[in-house]
Amino acid sequence: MIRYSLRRVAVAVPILLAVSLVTFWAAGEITSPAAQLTLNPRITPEAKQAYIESLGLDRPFGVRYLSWLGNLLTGDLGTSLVRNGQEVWPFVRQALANTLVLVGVAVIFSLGAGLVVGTLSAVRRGSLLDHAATTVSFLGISIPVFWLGLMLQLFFGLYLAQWLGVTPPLLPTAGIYSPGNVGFDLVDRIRHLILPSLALALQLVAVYSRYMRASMLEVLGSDYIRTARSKGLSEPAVVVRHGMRTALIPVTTQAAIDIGLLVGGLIVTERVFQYPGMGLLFLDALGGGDYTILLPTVMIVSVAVFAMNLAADLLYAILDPRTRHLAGR
Amino acid sequence: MLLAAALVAGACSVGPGADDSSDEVVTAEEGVSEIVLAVEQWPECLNPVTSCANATWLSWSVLVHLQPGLLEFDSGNSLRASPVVEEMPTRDSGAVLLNDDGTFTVTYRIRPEARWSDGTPITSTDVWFTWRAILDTQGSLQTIGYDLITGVDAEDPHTAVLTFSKPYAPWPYMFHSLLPAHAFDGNTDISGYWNDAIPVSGGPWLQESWNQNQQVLVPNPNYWVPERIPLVDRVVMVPREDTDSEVVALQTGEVMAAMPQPFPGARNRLVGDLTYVAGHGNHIEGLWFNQIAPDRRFEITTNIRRAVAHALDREQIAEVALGSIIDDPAVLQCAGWNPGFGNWCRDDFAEYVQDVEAVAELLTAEGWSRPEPGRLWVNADGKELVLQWNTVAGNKRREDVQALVAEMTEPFGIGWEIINYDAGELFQNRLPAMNFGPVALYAAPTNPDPSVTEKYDLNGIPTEANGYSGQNFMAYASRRATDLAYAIDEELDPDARLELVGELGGLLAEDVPWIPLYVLPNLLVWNTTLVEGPGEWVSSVYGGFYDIYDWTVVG
Repeated sequence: MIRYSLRRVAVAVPILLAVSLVTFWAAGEITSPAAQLTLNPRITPEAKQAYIESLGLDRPFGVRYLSWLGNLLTGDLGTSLVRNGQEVWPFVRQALANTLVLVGVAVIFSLGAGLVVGTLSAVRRGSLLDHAATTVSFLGISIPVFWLGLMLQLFFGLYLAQWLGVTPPLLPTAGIYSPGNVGFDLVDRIRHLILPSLALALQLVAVYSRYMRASMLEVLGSDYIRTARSKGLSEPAVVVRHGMRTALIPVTTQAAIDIGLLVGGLIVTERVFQYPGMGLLFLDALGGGDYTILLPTVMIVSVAVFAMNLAADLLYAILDPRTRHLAGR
Repeated sequence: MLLAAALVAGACSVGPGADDSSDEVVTAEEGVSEIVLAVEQWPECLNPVTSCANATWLSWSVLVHLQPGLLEFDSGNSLRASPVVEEMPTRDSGAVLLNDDGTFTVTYRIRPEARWSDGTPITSTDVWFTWRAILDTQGSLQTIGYDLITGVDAEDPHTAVLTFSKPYAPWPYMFHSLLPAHAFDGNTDISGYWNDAIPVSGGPWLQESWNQNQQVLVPNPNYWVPERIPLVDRVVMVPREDTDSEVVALQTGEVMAAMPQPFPGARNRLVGDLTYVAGHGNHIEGLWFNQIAPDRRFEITTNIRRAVAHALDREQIAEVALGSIIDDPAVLQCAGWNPGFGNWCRDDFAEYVQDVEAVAELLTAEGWSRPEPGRLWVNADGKELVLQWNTVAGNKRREDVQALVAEMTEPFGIGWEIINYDAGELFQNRLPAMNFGPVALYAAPTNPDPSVTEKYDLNGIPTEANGYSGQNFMAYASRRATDLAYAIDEELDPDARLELVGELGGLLAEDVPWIPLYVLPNLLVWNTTLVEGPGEWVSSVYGGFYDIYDWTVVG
């Protein structure tokens, strides 16, 4: 298992380097801090050129890339191009922490709900519950998150409060704290997490319940489940103790892969809810042409995707010993 | 475990620059009146001299509330003396002097009661320091005019004498953000200061805190202007960068006012408790011709440009572009000035209305012919009158305009090849390299001062020879226009200056280097059940939040 993991890490290194190179090139091609100055009549061409030189943007591509990569390898993310020399790491750290909170809450909730709904759908296949769950799941998968987010904001922020005759909003629709709040307030923080995590979770629940249903149906038709039933075990015991463990394997690995992708930031969700995570940071950096922030966010996504894929493989091997045996060959 | 740690870390996080050390929960206290405002583009940093200052929202949300100028604009963008100075310097009072040696001086008399929030008097040393900081700070960008100053005499603390190496007419538009000399440890390179906090104020407000998630302003206890003493205890500004969410936040009352970018359907969505006013914005939009476009099929002559102008119904274009946002959007009738700023913009382009005969006359004069009424014009080389046209891909307003114009000019025998690019490609790569068009649709920023030298200087045409520097993106090579633009910069007499502007405006209407369409409006939206007072400053260069000192919380 360790050798397998090391082999995977070794393969990932050149891939990550290639990602960093392509990202660095693309970031320079797509945008630049100087692009914002193009139409400002109060800025002379000389001042613009001096600005470009002060940022080191006039240096050859290779020199800039190697300089950035060298700093990255020593753990130095450097200073921001557009935030006037402020350290990059505090911005990335805060955004990453905020996104992890959102992803964590959404994935935990959606895994729990998805497993229950998927299992019930499979056990009562063809029932009204199954049809309802299927319909809702397809809706959840097909509704775009920006629209869902806006509807949640309107419903919980405005309409529900109006119907109940209370002063809106019932739930805050944006940000991570109420305006004017200073310091840590757990209740306020949780209230601000509800709508963005719900918007995210409603889609994930739909996906996980589908996975769980399909996996459960396959498991429930297998020989060892029939054996368990013939031994006289109760149906709940068969489903929960014997069926779910095996059926969980594809769902768990999918969730691990999802976490890797979601860590990169939920650009739409975070923008709609003004949630200061990796997605919003990425958008700001892209708009401002700040590759010093853009690159770490992209690299964190890449590393997270790789790490969570590896974790999914390892998890798979733990849950299903047959794959461990195959990986060892 | 990693997730658990992140949950704790994230739950505690407020954002870089925030005061994380406090365990105390502070929210709006009972009996404290508070106004909450939405800011659509949160500034990346606060330094008033470096590239941070290129962001309009830094000025609107921060600087105008904290930093006084020597002169200031009223709500109609006319100049007046700020509370820092006794009066506006004029030639009649002898405070603006053209000297025999070709230099000229401007003298400001500073009010003795003017002081910073820490009690330090505002003096001529602060004027000197601001001048030096703008020139000495690494990454300082907007140095135009300041580089013509040869000295600031600060001997008398209440008199600042600015000496320019030559007459410089836009002098009143300088020094709009004074810096407190005592707050920078004697360094005139202030690039390392004030990036995430502005601790000293000379305006009605004092910045209590600023981070990536909010700004809190409280009244400046040492402000000396009674009529601008804030009426509420504090103002909180929060970022709301998505327009739809911003409107929801206004409806729910989470924010009381906002200045969203004009968006389609604004008139239908901003109803109920929400009201809004629209005013002149800072950007003018139009069809910009690139006379040296690499992809041009023929020379983009004056006659062709005039013919295109005569093929457009600009009123209809303005209606399509802005009609869902504001009532009766006005057509921009001058090529360089913003009707919201002073009286520089005349009706020079009013002659350009749809006129099929004028189009025919202009084009036939240059050898174009039209085989049949329903076909495009063709030149002597057999090339059809089709112009490549670029704008920002995905910008609905502009794409709607393109579709309308393509349909509109068809009966006039003028066709379009529409190729759009993302904003980065168009403004970073193509525009500075003159690799666009020959027609582009975009908005250009404007200033209250009528100086248009950067736009029309024939030496400012970006070319390979000059390293693609300059902002004459039309490649409009008119010696007369260049001379007039420079004359406008040097003419100190306002009346004579207005005359020169008028002359240049007339020339531009003859030459049509670009076709002005409309001014993009500013919107100020507020929830009438929560706040009273907004609206007066919506057309101001200072933004609609400028007079928050006069706003009150309803009830």
